[in-house]
Amino acid sequence: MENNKKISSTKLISTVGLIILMLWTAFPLYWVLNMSIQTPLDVISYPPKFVFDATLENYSVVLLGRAWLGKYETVQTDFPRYFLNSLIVCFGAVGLSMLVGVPAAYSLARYNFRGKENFAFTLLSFRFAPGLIVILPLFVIFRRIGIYGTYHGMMLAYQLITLPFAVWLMRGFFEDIPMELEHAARIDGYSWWGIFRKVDLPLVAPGIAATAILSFIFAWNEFLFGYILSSDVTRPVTPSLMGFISYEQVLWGQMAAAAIVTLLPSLVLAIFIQRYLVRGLTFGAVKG
Amino acid sequence: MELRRSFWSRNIALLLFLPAFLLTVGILVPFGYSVVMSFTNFNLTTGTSDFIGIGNYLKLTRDPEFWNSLKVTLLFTVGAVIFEVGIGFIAAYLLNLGLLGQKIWRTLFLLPVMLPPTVAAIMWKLMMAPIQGVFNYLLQLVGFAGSEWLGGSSTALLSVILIDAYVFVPFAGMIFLAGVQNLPKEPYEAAAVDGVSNWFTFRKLTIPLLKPVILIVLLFRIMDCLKHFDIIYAATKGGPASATMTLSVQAYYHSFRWTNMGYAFAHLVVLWAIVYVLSYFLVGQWKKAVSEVHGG
Amino acid sequence: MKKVAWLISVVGLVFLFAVAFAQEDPLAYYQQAKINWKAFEGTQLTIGLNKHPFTESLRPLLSIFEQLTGIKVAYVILPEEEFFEKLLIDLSSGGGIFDVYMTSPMFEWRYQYAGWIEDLNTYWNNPELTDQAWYNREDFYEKPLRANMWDGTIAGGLGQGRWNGIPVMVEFFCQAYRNDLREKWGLTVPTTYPDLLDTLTKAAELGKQEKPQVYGVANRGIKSWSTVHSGYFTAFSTYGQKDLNPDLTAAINTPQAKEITKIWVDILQKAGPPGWPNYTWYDAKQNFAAGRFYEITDCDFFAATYENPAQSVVAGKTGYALPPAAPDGNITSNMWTWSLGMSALSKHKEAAWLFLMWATAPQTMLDGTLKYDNFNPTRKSVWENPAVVEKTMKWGTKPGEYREIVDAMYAKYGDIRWTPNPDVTALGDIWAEALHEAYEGKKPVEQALDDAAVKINELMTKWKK
Repeated sequence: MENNKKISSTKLISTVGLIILMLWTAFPLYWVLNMSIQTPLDVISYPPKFVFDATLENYSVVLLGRAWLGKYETVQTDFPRYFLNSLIVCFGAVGLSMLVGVPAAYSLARYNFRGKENFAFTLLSFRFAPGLIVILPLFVIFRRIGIYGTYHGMMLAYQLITLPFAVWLMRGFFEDIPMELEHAARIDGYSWWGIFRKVDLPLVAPGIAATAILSFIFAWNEFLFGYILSSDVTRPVTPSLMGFISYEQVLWGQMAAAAIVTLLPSLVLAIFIQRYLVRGLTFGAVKG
Repeated sequence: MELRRSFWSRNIALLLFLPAFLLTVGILVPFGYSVVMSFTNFNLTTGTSDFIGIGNYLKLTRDPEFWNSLKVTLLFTVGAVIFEVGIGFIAAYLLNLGLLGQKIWRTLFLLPVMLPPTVAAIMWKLMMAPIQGVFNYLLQLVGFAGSEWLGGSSTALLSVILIDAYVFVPFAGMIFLAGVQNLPKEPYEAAAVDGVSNWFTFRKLTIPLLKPVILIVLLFRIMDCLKHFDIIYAATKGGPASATMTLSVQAYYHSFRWTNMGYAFAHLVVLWAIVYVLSYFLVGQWKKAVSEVHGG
Repeated sequence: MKKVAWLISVVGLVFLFAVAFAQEDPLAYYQQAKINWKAFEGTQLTIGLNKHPFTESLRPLLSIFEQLTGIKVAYVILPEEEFFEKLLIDLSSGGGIFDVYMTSPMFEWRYQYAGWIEDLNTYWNNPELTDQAWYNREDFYEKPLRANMWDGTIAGGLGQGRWNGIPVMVEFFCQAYRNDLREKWGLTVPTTYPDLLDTLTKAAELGKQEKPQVYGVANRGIKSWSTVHSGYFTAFSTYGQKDLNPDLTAAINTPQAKEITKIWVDILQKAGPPGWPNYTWYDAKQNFAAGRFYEITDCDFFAATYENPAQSVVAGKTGYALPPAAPDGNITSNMWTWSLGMSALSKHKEAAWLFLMWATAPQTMLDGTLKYDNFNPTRKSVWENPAVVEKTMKWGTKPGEYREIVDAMYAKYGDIRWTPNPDVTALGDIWAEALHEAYEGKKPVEQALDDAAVKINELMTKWKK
């Protein structure tokens, strides 16, 4: 009896705790979603409106550049183009990182050579370096060699975010494959390439997918690199969201709609790799 | 035969490694450039870039703004990390109890990690707006006085920490959750048989076993907070006064606003050195903890 | 007799048609100029623009320029802070994406020293490129025009030497208040700063009874020189104060400077928006237009928004007044002007000049103001244009109230109050931080200003001879 009471009170406290946690997580998201389907007058009304006539006008303006009701302030945003820019740059950057990073990770996991750990740490330290320290010189250098504001220039710069990630995470995945498997394959007469292709790759394929998707999300969320190294034509979506602050008024509704659309790719991708997400977020330190 | 194989595999190792190595060296070039420029009086307005030795660094030691931004950076880091680790731990506990709908809650809990930090900052700034924001409205509705949030020097740093926590509590929480799920069962069963208290088990068993996981969260959060730029740039630009002026934001003022590049680079090099040394230490600790726990 | 009248009316009609027809063709006006508009056909220009009503007024007109000259115009529009940062990066890297960009005297002073902005005099004095009579430069109000000229003398030389930019809009800083609430609450329009403090404190108290609450006064407060620039500098210079002494030491901490700063900080603490240091001009404007403030002491041209019923609930309820006076009766206002300047790195400078000529020609500026609400205009012919007069006469509690203020500003009170020097925006940033410290009660006003003065002195050392 005593014991039962204790258990139920712990359960009660835990449930309340969980509810608070979920409110904290969900409320801001709910609020942005809310704003994204409000008219400009509803968005700035006070007290804030929880009940209102929903409209998809903001999305229409942001995505199609069209106001169906005609009473909307629009701002020239080129949002679809920014979205496409982000897709191009992030896919490119992740592709390059995987191309370069997977072999390097394999090499780090399987072979011993001098300076290996130093190299690995240097690479990781890029992930921790303040962005501004590289970005100003990169800007100057890019200008000089003529790749400022180009897609491939940005893909290169984004390696700072995606490459350490790809290498450290993939290294963990490769280290998980027992050496015995490779030894067995070697005895069967496979070359290293054969082993890599037939033994390792199938085993790390989900890991590669998870790594790629996570790198993609990190690149997508990056602000500083996209802000400074892009031209108006190649500007990615994250810095462009600031552009909904116009002189006439802040287009909160449209900004919210754009923020929701910006969130979508990460969300969809993240659902695919939920199982590997945790592991990826820790550079493979924790097996999720 | 064996010898030849190892020769080849060594070369293959280097070959596989080469592109990443080159890219790394390539990335080091701009770092080097910044370090070199931090020894000059590089200023875009006057057009000078003369070598002035350690002049910028000497100036830093006498610059109260620099010391203040160092202080703010550390306060922000300590505050955010305590918050994120604390709430993250509680969240991991709550999400591991097997309460109804646990799978859904876990997915929902993770969502804010997907938000670009600048977007989170803009969202929160709007909700925190003192006059028209929804937070003060709700607070006043239940009888509290509204807060100045980002606009008050006593609340701004806390508000910024709150925004950072919103995005990164899930990060800490999910890692702890994974760590907790991977805990071995046997020691706990033994402890239960011995009848030791929950607190004792937590202190003497759970914490040591989770040490690698805790270190990895600390590593990532401390480093990200020390170099933090995005959220403060979007939310306060370092204000009010210099209440949220971190080193990165201070460097942004010196460079993009005041064209004083050499001095800005000196700030960044100092920050980089701090980050480098600290992360080196933490990575070392982490590796040690991993080998202690996993015995290899 | 009847026949003659008939004939006259026919001739008149034909003439009217001719005029109407001529006006149908928007190019005809520009083609009257003795300028070979087609000289740079096929060139492409890139224009850097800030998000601003002027930009919105220019954009729809650009096709006329493209037809007229055969020059293609690409433009980049960025929000203000981002715009200046990107522009700085672009110019400093020596690359030069932009041929023409929006700028302002305070920025031109830096750009001139860094060698990033072209002297327009060269092109103005080139008869091949310019028809001075047609362009009619005298039509510009003198204050904004000379604010964009500087001979490079630190702390002097304004209105002489290089011509850095052509002003396209101008703003002064006045009082705008809720006349309906003033009548309801029995307040008067303040004429001195202690009076302003008193009135706004009362308004803030009375506003607590309103649903939703009405606050005292809106004014921007972000950590930037622009916070100093608007209402505060207007009060500051009204008290006869300057930012710098002639020897380039800071003058922001004189006894009178401290006195007015105390009043100003007092106003903000007692009647300002909560969280003032994070308050932007668009918050201020939007919330005043939403009826959440009794008064706003920021840009005068925000009137265009307040008086537009689609964007504002205070249209027709707003009164306008000159800023309050100093004890000696003196009134001054600071002035801001957006201008178009030419990048020194441009590879198409002549074509860029043609663009400047077109964009700031009387007709283009009139179209911008009349059709697309670019206020306040910088050309007399635009401000005095009957249609513009008709539109702006209605602003205020009595006919012509707003116009009178702008006229008085141009005639007497308004001018650029900053001391010309390349680091003026950095100086302003430091100063804004001092206002924050005082507002937050971190330091007394006196100490905040004294400390800022030390920093400003250090900043200015490099410009002393």
